[in-house]
Amino acid sequence: MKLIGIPILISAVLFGLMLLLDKLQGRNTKTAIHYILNPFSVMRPAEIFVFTILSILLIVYYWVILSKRKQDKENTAAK
Amino acid sequence: MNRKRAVLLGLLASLSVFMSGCWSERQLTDMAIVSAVGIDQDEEGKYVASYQFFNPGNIAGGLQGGGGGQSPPVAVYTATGDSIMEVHGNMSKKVSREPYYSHANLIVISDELAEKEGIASVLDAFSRGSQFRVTTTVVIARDVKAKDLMTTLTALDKVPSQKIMDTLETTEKAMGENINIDLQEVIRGLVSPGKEPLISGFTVKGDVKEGKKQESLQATDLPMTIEADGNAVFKNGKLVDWIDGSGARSVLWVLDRVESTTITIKWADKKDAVSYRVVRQKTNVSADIKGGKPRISVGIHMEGDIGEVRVPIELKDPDVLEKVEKEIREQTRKEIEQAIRRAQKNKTDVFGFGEVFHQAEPKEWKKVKKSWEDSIFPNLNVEVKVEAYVRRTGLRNNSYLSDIKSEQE
Amino acid sequence: MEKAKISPRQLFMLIVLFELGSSIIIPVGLTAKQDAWLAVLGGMVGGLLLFLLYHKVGSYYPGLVPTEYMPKIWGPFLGNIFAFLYVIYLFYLAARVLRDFGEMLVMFAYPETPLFIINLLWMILVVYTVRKGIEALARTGEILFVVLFILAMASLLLLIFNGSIDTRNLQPVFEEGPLPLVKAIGETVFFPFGEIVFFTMILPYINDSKKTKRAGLYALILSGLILSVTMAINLSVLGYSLLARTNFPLLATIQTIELAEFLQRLDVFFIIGVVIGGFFKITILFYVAVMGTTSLFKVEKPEQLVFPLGFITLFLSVGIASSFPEHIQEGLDIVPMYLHLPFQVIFPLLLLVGAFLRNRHKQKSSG
Repeated sequence: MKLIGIPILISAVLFGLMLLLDKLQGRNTKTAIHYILNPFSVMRPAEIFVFTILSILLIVYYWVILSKRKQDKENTAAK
Repeated sequence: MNRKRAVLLGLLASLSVFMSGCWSERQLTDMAIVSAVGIDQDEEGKYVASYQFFNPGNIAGGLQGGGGGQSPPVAVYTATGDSIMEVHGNMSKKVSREPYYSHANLIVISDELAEKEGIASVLDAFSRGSQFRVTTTVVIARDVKAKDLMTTLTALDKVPSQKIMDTLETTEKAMGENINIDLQEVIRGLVSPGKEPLISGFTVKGDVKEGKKQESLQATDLPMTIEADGNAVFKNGKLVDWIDGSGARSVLWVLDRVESTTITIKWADKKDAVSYRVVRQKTNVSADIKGGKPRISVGIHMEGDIGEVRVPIELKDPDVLEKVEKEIREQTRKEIEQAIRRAQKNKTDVFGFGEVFHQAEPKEWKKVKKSWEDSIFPNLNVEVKVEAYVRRTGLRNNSYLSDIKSEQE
Repeated sequence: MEKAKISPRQLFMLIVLFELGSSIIIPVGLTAKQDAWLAVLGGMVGGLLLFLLYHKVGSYYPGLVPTEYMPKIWGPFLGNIFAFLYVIYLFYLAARVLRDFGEMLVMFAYPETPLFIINLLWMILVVYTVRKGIEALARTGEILFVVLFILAMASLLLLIFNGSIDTRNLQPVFEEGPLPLVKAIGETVFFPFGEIVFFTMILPYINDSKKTKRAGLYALILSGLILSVTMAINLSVLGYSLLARTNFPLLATIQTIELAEFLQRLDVFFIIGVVIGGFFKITILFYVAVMGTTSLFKVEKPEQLVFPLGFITLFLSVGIASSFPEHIQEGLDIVPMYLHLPFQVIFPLLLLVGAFLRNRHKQKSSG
């Protein structure tokens, strides 16, 4: 819960910060978002591969941690 | 148990003796290894093929002491015939060994032959024969005979045909103005109604006669060089046009065969003022139907760095960079539209738009297949969108030219 | 976050490595032109003052990190909001520095490799280190400090023997009056010196709190001197005009070394030094950011958040700017005014005032 929520919150605020800084540089919102996302649109196959592996790792990581937590909780509850 | 195993193994081992294919045996000394085949046509319409053979003793030249100045690393023999098989047969009258084609990586067809008769009929033997590989590079000889490309010697590479192939590979990657195409793709282009092949041209600059002599290699500034020169455009198998330079690059771009290239744009009223080196690019070609007519959309996305500036320009300012990006987009878009229009005038679909349309709208394609090249393609509505981004400017930001300018003011 | 402790000497080394980190490759104080080296010295003085400020604030609440004492000073609502803003600021800075280093490697050594991949490789190392904790970092710092020192000395000697240094390029001093210098000092205070505001998060972990002040001040003085000398050398070797046009001046300086026909192309010295410095700066920033997050949100097992937060930082570093010049301009024009000024100066001052008022209160009521 916290583990998932905190990164999401931070990502959202940081994204907003990026937008804010770009706007201060004189770009309007639409172009700013476009410019933030565009480095990811020309990705060579190797990059896409790495990106997918990273995402999978992240998901697996969360899976492992959350299930461990559940186990701990169940253990303490059983006691 | 062990005994049985041993006998079994022994039997298997002895069987392998029979599998060495004694019937199709070939001794190395009975073979003449062909490195490239060049095909011209004489006035009677017969094929004149020039085979470039490896001269085995002289390839490994450097290891032998004393070296240089003996016979060249390759030998060229010519034979005539009404078909490729006949040429092969007639070659045996000149060569002491049987030609062996498995190492033949290059086929050169003369431009005259390609214009008059077309390349379709000449290529069948190469695709049918067991020794030829479908990955053989195909090249058109421009303004010279195919034989001349076979006989010209080269400095850095011992085997001239190797030089042609390596040059083609390198330049396709570095400049994107010549296409590195093999036999398989050429045939596919000939067969498909929605596409025409595009083949690179090579020529010999300088003195062709001197180029055949080994002594010509003894100078630093060679009297002759083999160079890539434009691309040949075909219609129905016959050569109809040549495209060079940035027009060629545009075609290759749409074909998504450009890896990196340099684009120069105009800036501050000076031509070729800023050079942009493309590092990464992606091309998307899609087809759909708009207003009852087929429509093609070409999308190009590129990223790169500034490689050179020849005018004072504020590279530190992202707004300036944005303007540069816009200029790059505009120029590339115009070049590509120009190339498309030229192909439309020639009525040859080098871009393979027909195939793209076929894959997107198969039902419609069936209806228009026959008239694609001659009536639909020339009037095709093609939308070109280009996105370009400048990422870096190298180790410097502004040029010293900016400082010179500000000192003068 | 953890029970580990580091010694004042390790703090000293960490601060020096941190300061040298990206400042060595990105030039500051250029508004003062050839007096930039003086601007660096001026910034150092400013940095010393700021450090004293931060230390004083921390001394009201020994053993507590800023995310813990901010709510105490300003009340839970405001205090936590500000602490959160600090954490965001830290992530942004970590991503910025990561971007700086990634860009340099791409530009100089790996032009075909995507920036994302290079930054990823950095982050793998950083995430691993942060998971291991501050002690591991500090101990690594001790070793690398020596390496860096040797490299720096070697480069300096080579430059001297090479005859590249021409101190006439430092003249005329004060060519356009003191004003540009003052403006430049205004820049250098923020970057690189004011950035030690993050060390406030680490100060409570020093095992000998009395020596902390001294360690910090000495570290600042040493790094200030080194940076100033480096800037002076760069100016002497290249001259202001070339330096201003170069994206990485120190590299250009080292490239001029051509001694005895074989000591050429010592660019690799530059790369090693820069990679070490960059690693430290990014790791410290990231560590402090993670620590701030976990203490703010009271996470029980902070190690678990390191990987996801690293992921975010990686993406942030690619997204903050879409070209290198844009990234630099953002850093020079926008960041100091809107980010550094509030977080390095204004908020700490407010904190100091608040802490003072609160504790005077307390003393009165308990006395």
